[in-house]
Amino acid sequence: MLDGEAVLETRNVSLSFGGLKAVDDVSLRVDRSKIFGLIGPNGSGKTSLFNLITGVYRPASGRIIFEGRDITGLQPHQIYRLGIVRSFQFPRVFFRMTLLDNLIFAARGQLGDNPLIAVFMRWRFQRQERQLIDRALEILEKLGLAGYAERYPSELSGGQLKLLELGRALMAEPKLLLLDEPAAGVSPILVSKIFETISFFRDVTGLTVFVIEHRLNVVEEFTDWIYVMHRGHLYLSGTPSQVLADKRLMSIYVAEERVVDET
Amino acid sequence: MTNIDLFILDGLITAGYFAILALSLNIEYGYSGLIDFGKAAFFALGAYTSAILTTNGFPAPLAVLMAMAVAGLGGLAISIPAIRVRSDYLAIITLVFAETIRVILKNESWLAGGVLGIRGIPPMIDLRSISYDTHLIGQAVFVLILFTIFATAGWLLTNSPFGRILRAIREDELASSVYGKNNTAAKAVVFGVASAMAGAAGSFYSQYVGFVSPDLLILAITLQIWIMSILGGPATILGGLAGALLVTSISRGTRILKDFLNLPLDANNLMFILTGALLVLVVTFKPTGILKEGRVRSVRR
Amino acid sequence: MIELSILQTITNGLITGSIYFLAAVGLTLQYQLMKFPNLSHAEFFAIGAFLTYFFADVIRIGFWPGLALSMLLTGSLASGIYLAVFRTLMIRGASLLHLIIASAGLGVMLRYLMWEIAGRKSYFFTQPFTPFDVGPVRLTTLWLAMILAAVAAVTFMILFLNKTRLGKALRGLASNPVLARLSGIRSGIFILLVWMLAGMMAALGGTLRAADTRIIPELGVEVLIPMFAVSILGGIGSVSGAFTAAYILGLAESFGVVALSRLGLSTEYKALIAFAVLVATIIVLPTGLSSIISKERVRRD
Repeated sequence: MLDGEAVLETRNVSLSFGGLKAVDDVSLRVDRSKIFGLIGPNGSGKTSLFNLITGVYRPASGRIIFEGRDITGLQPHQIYRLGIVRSFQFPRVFFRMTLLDNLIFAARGQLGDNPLIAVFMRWRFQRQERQLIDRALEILEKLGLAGYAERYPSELSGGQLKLLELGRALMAEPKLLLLDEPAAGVSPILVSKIFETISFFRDVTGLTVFVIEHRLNVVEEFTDWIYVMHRGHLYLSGTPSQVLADKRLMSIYVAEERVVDET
Repeated sequence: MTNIDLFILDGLITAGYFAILALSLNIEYGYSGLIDFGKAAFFALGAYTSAILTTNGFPAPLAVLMAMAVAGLGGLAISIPAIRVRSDYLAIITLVFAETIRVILKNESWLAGGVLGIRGIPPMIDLRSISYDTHLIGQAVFVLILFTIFATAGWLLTNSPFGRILRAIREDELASSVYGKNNTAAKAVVFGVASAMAGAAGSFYSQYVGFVSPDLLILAITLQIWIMSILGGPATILGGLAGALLVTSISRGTRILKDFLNLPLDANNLMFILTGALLVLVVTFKPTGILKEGRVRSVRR
Repeated sequence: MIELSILQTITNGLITGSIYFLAAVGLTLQYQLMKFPNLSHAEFFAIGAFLTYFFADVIRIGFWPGLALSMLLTGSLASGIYLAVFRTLMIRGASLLHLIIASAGLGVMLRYLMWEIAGRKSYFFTQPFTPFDVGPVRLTTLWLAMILAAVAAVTFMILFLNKTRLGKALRGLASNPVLARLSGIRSGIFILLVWMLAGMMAALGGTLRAADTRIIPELGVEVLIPMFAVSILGGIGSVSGAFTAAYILGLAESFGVVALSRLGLSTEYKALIAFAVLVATIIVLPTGLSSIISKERVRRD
């Protein structure tokens, strides 16, 4: 059973699109400074759940609690300011900004976000900006992208874009980091690099991670607890060894395949 | 100076004011991705506010401030319904807003002079007592200074963390909000500032030409500003100036050419037909314009 | 002074609503299919009227044959413009913003071309329309024709979209282009068809409107605001929505005009009514009436 301190809790959250229940009465929790995994076949509602937590959608029912505070219905930028940061499965970086700007953009508490300061009191944000540049360069260094700092994301490969997406999320100094398939479609070496970087940041900063991931071997090695979703509801939960040994796990993946064959 | 020199100088001065309008559109569209089809409406709101005040004895500086306030608040007001929704709705609302204002001004005789507008606006800086030439040169210098002030403000605004937010909004609003930026507030600021800028330009322009009329508000004028913005380079500060000079030359050039070649066409109609055609062509073949977008220069590196 | 006869006011509202429906139905279908508002749609209103005039009174084949011919020609022109301009832009990967901008430029171009060709005077159809009274209500054969045209158009549209294979395929294409294309629907023909229909409806509405007032190039501009208000209030892409919205607006304006003249204000201010409807819809019910009155699923944003 889970015995840590819950940083995030969803209580009976549901979300529908038209007649389809994307998320169906899901109640789960994520514990502080742990790495929790979320797995399940395509269309099982994992990304929709992330969208609910980050305020992109409002749940039809249920509540979402973060650090003891009800965040249901808050807007995405408000949820970010509370410390929840998420990355996207298909990187949503800004192609018309340099890598460095992409990272700095994600930093919190920027004085220069205020237009009055931007025009009339530049010295106030410029010192902060220089610090942010240093921190961004460090992260880029760690991800092997330092050479591209002043270049544009169009010059990056698919795997490097995933790294940038991750770097941006880390730059945001999250308390809770929601990663949507951070290593999908990436070479095996990079996969390890990505997850080692995540673990490193978790160890150093104590951040909590909730990660959607397909590869069961990765999940087994890097996570402390796993949730399994299937057709919108929470199907299984437990430690990696418990869940991965459970026969019901394979059945849902096979079931999905059979459905596809029949149509 | 010869008549041709005066003609050119007048063209440059007009281009200068339109450059300010194009700059304000660059901030809205080029940097933030907002489609504003009501640009001429805020120009006219500023011009009319200023005209009403100056022809009733109020001092010019006050008229300018009021013009900026009215235009800026108008921009904020109209943006509120639209910026939360979708970009195409913003285009429709601004278009319809401008047309509504035009209808009102055309029919409001008591305050706004109806179809004829308001005439006899005194110039802010009057050097005509020295000579007409000097007066025009003074006006040209004045608009240049004005543009420099607005361009500097625009540059500072867009080369800062706030400017980064604008570029983010332009490309991916969801990613922007997920990373903590209040998109709605930023868009409202942009609309208010850009509209106030247009209002200021309107105020000064009205004092240059000496009159205002509802014809300032026709869509064709807004579209001319759009061409200037897109052709010059929408996500730049100086692009508006480049575009304004180009488009003004073309429109004045066609007028001269038409007289020269004795074409049986109405010059006004011809200019606007070309305006429409040019806009379609620019959007099709050179949507990024002449000047290229630069990095966000928030600090010196 | 307009005498307050409620029945007459209602009738006037129905007449106005009919015209608004004809103006808006083409726009709303195009908007849903192409995903951008075609800002040049209003010009087909006037083009249709001028073409009818040309056939009816210059070549003298009569009003109704002239109207039929004009509808065909205007529809073809609309399809042609789609092919020449918008399809080219879309193939080149133009963004939504660029398409909207191009449509605005095109609209201006068309209107000033009309001004160049037709001049700034008003033209009139020679076809007489006899007035008659139904109880306390004054009607003319023209006004009756307007209402009948609108009813015929909406009936035709709804039957076409819901009962024919072609129509159902069209609806599928509009709501889910990817899926439609995957199931083998050849979208090119359908898009042409929608533009054709849009042009035809505009020509019909424009001709009838011009017969009621006069034929001028600004004919489309006069219904610009109501056109958009109706499309958005009705819900983009919904024929039944546009029909409902058109009459709501028509009646609102009709009563509004009575109120304005009672207050001694210019009836031109009725433009504010349409504008207010537009803004209110965007704030309160951006997906339009169709999302609540029918089971039609208007596209999610």
